[in-house]
Amino acid sequence: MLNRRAFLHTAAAFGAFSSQPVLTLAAAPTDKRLVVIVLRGGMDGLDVVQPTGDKGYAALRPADGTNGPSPAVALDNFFQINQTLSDLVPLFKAKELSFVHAVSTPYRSRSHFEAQDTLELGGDSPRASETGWVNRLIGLAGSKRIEFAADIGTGDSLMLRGPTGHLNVYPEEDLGFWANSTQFLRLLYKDDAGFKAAYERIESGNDPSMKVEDVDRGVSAREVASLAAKLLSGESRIAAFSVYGWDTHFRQQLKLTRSLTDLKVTLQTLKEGLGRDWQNTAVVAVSEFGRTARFNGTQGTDHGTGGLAVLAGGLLANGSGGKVLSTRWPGVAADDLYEGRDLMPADDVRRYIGWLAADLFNLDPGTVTREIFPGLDLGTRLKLV
Amino acid sequence: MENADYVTAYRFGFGLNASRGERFDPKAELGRKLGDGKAAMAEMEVALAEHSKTGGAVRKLKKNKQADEYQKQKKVKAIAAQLLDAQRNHQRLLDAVNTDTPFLGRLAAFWVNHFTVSRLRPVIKPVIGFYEPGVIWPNLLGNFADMLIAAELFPAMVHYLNLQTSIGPSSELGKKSGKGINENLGREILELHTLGAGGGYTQADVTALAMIMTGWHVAMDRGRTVFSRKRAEPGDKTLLGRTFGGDGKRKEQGSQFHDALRMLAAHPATAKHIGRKLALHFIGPGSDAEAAKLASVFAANNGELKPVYETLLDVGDGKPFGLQMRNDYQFVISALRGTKLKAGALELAPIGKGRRMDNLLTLGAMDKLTQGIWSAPTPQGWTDDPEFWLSPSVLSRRLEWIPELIKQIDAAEPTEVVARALGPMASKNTLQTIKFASNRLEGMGLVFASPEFNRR
Repeated sequence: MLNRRAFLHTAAAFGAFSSQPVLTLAAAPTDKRLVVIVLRGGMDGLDVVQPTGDKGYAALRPADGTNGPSPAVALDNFFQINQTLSDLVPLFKAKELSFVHAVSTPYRSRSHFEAQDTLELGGDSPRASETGWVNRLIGLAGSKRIEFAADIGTGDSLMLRGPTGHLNVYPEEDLGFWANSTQFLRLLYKDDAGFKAAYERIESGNDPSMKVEDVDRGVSAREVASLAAKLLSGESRIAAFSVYGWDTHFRQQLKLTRSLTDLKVTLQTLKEGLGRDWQNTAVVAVSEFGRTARFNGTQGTDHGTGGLAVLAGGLLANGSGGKVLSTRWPGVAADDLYEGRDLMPADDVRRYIGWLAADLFNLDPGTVTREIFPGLDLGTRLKLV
Repeated sequence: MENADYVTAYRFGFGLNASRGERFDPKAELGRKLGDGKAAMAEMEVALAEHSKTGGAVRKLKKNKQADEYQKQKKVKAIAAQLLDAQRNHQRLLDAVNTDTPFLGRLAAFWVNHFTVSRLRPVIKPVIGFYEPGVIWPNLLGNFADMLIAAELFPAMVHYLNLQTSIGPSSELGKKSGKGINENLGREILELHTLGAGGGYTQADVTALAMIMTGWHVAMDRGRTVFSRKRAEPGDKTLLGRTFGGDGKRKEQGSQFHDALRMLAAHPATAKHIGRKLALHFIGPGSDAEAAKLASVFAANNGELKPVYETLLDVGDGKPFGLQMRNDYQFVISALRGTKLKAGALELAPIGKGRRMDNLLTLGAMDKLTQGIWSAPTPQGWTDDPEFWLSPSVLSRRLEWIPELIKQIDAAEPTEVVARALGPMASKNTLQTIKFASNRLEGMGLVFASPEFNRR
């Protein structure tokens, strides 16, 4: 549960920052903002953006009450969008929302944990790197200021792991007992590098006290997203967090409705909270893998391969907004499926993130393939923003 | 007592409370006779059947549109369930605090985490408290394969990883209902419980194991996991090159699952996986040689666990202090064992607005810290990555809880507290810092905040 008083206090503190625009601009090397959201659990892209124009789809997922596709509304003449996201259709029409269909990382073995590691570390395989790709990105793009990038959550996200400093905004705590103990805690931890680093981050997050409860323990999507918007309206240019609950083995429609509502609220809250800065923002939300093309026996789907990425933000209007992007629609007829069961990945999702990062932070493509996603073939230029 | 004894007790137990005159003799603990858990399982069956029965009665009220009575009964049921849940979980923590076999306590916690179940669904709550006494302890000093089978068939696991709703598509029930398999449990058995990720299995093996398991489900009215041929997939299934099945007699079909699990338990990749996990948990990162040794002992003894634990104690002996972090469970149990508390400090009492039965040093502690009771975020369980347990988020929650502990400590001076809790483990710097503290309570708090109380 979020401590409201502390949260408002944070809001006020950041309000004060943004009333000094000169200072803010001077502190950050760019006006462009990137929000990275991990949709943990494996989102069923085929139920979120449904390829109803593909004849194979109805054969693959016949309408069957709760044991078939979720209700959906038209998005374009080939795809329909899950009804829970219908409020976002105007955003799509305004070219501030896009989807990338049939993408994945190079990982293929359907373990959540390894797939998330691959996605977060940015390599070709789960353990290809020691540091997270977002950490490498902020090292290349950022000022040296710790405020440049913010990890909103429990502080154990692999995306941010690495040597480049960043904010970690974490749970509200009652530090009343320790209110005057700072010097003693510093002394206590001076000889232990691990404790010293952890405590320094607690201290820097404590004043002004900007903390939310763990994202996975009950804080709402709206609260996480408003905090991200606050930080990005201030000195931060990169914010990363997770939206949970996509592992829909059982009663998918019910669970997906909840998680999609969180995703919808997240995007709406970011837009609202960023105000004019939304025009300088790109959001990328990506899951570790897609799900099986067919429903399993329990009104759900199991771990699959090709999935869906979500792009949003005002910056898309200059590029690929309002489209369902796909390098090549792989089809969903039985023969088209990967290993006969999953949506075939048509492209590497890192290519989209890579071109986005290059455009946002003025990096040349060589830097992206050398430093951020080592070994990735960036291929033809994708003009997303 | 030697400093080395303390290091061992941190690594394999919950530390040492010098003022209790406590000794730590983990090898002797391995000679204990453990109960068979039958009483706990019998109690579990009654609890689950009762849960199912009262749930049915309450639902009937709803169906009959007796709205007021329905709401009332639903509330009564929820209060009773919360109380039972609180009592069982509280008792489980107290048992760890009071145990005279701390090494066995640590091993039990290791296996509970290896075979993670989470109280994700309401149906799991009434039975989860019997998991440790009914499944883990009776097999703790036995054979891995027996523990594996007992864990997978425990009703909470069957529900948690969706075996309950998995039905053979060509079975009698499958054909009639159009329902099919859910491969969640099959995948996690291979990836997490036995071979481990990269253990050489394919998607086809995951599906085959899921098919082999069909038929097994919890008969809620009887409160136990049973086999029903009507739900079982007929025909041959090939798991890791071995064929299971055919359309044999009911008994043969039901035992396919057991045979498959025994085969997985005996697989070399399982030995390696368990060796790696034990070494990482008890010793810490960088213990590859120790992991390999444990794997070879595991394999040579066909999964008998006692020789594995003996080897673990041998290879862990003499390793430097501090490679691993105490997780929140170890942190709380060690703190409660290493202090003298005021009378009544560990009793359950109604707390807060909802007057829930709680205790801020046991249930409330786990709630406040990262490692909530029975709430591992994924089937992988709580990580043994020391970096996780040294993250700002984990540390700040511990700092937040420490005042609750200090309120209940029966001691006048920080020096008494540090002597009990840390003994010779206290560093010069910690002793010095405590001396500088601006007041006594702060000084006591610093003991539990210190690196040496949080590392092991």
